[in-house]
Amino acid sequence: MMRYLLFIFASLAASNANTQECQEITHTFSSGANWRVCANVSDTYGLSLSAMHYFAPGDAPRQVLQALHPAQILYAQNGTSSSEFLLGEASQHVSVLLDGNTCDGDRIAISGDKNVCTVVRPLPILAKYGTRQALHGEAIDIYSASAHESIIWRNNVRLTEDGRIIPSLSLSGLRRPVSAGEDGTATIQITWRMAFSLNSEGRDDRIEQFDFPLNRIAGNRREMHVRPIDTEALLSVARDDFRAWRVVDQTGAGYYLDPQNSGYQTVSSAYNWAKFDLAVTAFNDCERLAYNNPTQNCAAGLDDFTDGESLADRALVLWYTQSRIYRPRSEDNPVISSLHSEFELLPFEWTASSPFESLD
Amino acid sequence: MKQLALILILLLSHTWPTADAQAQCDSGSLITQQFDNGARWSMCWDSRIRENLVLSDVYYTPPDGEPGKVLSEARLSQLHVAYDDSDVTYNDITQFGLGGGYLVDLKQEDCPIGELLIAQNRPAACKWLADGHDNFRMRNRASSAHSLNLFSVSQVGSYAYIISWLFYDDGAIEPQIGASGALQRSSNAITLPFGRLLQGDSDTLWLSHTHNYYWHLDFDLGSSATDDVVAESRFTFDSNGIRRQETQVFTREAARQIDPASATAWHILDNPLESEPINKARGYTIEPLRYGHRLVREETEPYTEYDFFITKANDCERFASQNARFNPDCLNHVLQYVNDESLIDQDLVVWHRVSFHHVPRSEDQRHMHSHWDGFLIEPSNVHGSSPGLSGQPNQSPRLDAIGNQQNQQGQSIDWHVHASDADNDPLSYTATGLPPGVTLALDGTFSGAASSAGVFTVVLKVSDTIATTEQTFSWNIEKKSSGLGTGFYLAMLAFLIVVARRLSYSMPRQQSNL
Repeated sequence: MMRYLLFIFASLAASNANTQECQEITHTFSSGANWRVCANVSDTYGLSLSAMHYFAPGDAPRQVLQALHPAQILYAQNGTSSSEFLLGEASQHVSVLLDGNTCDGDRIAISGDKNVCTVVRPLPILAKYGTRQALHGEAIDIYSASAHESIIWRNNVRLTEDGRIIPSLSLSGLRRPVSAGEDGTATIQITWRMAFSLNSEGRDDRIEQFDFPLNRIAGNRREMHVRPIDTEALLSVARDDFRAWRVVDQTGAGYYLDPQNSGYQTVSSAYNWAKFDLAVTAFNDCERLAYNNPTQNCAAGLDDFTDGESLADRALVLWYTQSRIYRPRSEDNPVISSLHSEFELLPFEWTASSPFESLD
Repeated sequence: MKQLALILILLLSHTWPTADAQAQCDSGSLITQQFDNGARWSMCWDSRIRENLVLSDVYYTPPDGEPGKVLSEARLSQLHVAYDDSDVTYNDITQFGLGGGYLVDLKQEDCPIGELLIAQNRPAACKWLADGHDNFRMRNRASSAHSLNLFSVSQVGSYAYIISWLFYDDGAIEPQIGASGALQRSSNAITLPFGRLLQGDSDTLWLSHTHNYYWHLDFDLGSSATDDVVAESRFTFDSNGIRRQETQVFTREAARQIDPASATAWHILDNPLESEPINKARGYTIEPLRYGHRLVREETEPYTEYDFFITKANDCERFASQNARFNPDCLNHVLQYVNDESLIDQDLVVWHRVSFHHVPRSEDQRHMHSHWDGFLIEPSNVHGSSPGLSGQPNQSPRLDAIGNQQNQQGQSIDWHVHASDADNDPLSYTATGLPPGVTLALDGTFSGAASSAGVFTVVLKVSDTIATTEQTFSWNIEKKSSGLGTGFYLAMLAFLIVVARRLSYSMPRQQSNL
């Protein structure tokens, strides 16, 4: 009972935190598909989307996430053993107000000194079959810009007509000065926080790990193994097993997180959590950043958040981390050619078939 | 007469170069695209019966730069599909083909914001322009990446493959393939652990499978086809936890695996100097980021153990697998092509594999939305500076003129300096040489009281974190008097004079009688 009350309290707190100063953004595509989200720009981590709802043609509107935002950017210059964190209380993260030169779409004010940009873009072919006319789709990009010293990055969330959520981060800005003997090469790790709340209730969501290990004895077959993750955990990609994760609600509908863009992995780090690709925690509104978590009376980061707590009857939070290498080149002089990192959440079993018109 | 006939034959058979001096093909096969930032791409294209879309003579002209050749040929070299039950494996390009009867004629509706391209009298491809992510971003401006997109569609079985190439206005190239159409294989043994039951049909198990795409890229950077070099970079940690880069230049043919822990990347370099570090050399970089799945069947298909191959160009080596099926006198698969031949002064070819594991979902049921895979080929030191950037990336703050200052020792100080920034960057102020007791807040406010007299040379700086502007001024702090000021002494003098006069009036008269 206490846990239930705590959950309600936490949910209310989250609701308040997420709805204050946030601006509702809705977009309806020509197919009838619709996205409705509330956008905010946090002083701590930049773009934050909450109360995210997707409506597929012919389906009911469904809440998918209650919060989505960058949760840390780790910048480790080669030739040193130290790391710099671009988000959190100790850093100097600054939100950059977008103007006509830095927003290629519509600017939406969040508050006096904060705004986001929205742009609707055509996508490559959504579906094609034989000579039947291709199905085309669009996506809406919602983005803000953030800065730390001379580094500037774009926090972007792409919401596609067919329900995919594609968070991305593009790092640019002025090239940083480097020590003598170093060339500025750096490892950059970007972590996103995704607080799930499939349909209206988050407490009945669960997470499963999919593995397809190769069985050489049985003729190179791959059996599907689905393992529920019941407690908070730090998890790794397993490429030979085709590992992926799915968050799913009581109805069987959910999102599939296939760690496709995981060609780089930081296996050696002073920070234990940074060696992993995914963390799963029970929802706790004060746990916002993977490291340097700024909230008082709250744990400092993922290593403390993942303390083996049961996920039963709790809303789930996924923390997904990707690594990139910044390799300086003349193209970065004086402005860094954007270093882009993205991943995709794929709707899985929301509808009995494609919610779009059949090509038959 | 013979000579005249020969000239006529040559004239008739000659493929005339167009006004574009770069790509050598007839105008119907030529694709060119000029971007607003001044960058330009040109190339020839064709649809082949096996590979479908083949690009050749690919040239890139940087903004304000000279055209340079990038690729002599680029295409898919196999589309390998392995099902999880292992009962069936397809090599679509060599078993079926992506062109000819499998090429889908496009209609304008398939290419609604683009232009249809004709090959062999068929509308075989679509060319369209897109924009999206940032090329670069500053506080005061940003540039979206614009791209020329080409695609062609091949219907093989139930699958429709959308073979795509993107050419960006910053010189990057992105081969992509979208898999759409419908699910191909199913089983009525619904308890098998190799697939999923989808909604609406409890009697059919749709089988999970892996698409393994192999691309063949014949790089010819710059003016010579035989001076390119391929290198691999990796990162290792020393005992102090410091990450360092290691590089290896391939002098012989090689097959390589992606190693996420060491952040493998491959660099195709144009005639680098021997002493030149790879991050200074001109060329293209492939980072194998698309690596969530790795299919290996070393017993039956040994080439699947590797992700990247560097070979000497050989017309005999066309397909990544089942090559001998069409070229009986040639080797059969890409791992066999890696047979220790020297790469020095040779025309080099790289082969790259990307895999995607497809777990069926109900939404795939007629018709399946495209799942896209590919990789990025990024220019490195091809441009002298940030491509397409003109002017200064940041404007320095302007500080209002500050005259020399004067205060008295101990006097309370509260004044504010002002600066402006054309980029609207947040500004912060610092100073050196301040009189003791005076402080400057980051917002430019001086406060406190000078505790020492003297003339101080103050250097005031205002920064937008990128650029700093400074001014120097003199600050004279007058010494505080030892208690009573000049006015006091003047008043005292006046008082004494008055007193003295009064005293003189009241002096005894007798003195005047002297």
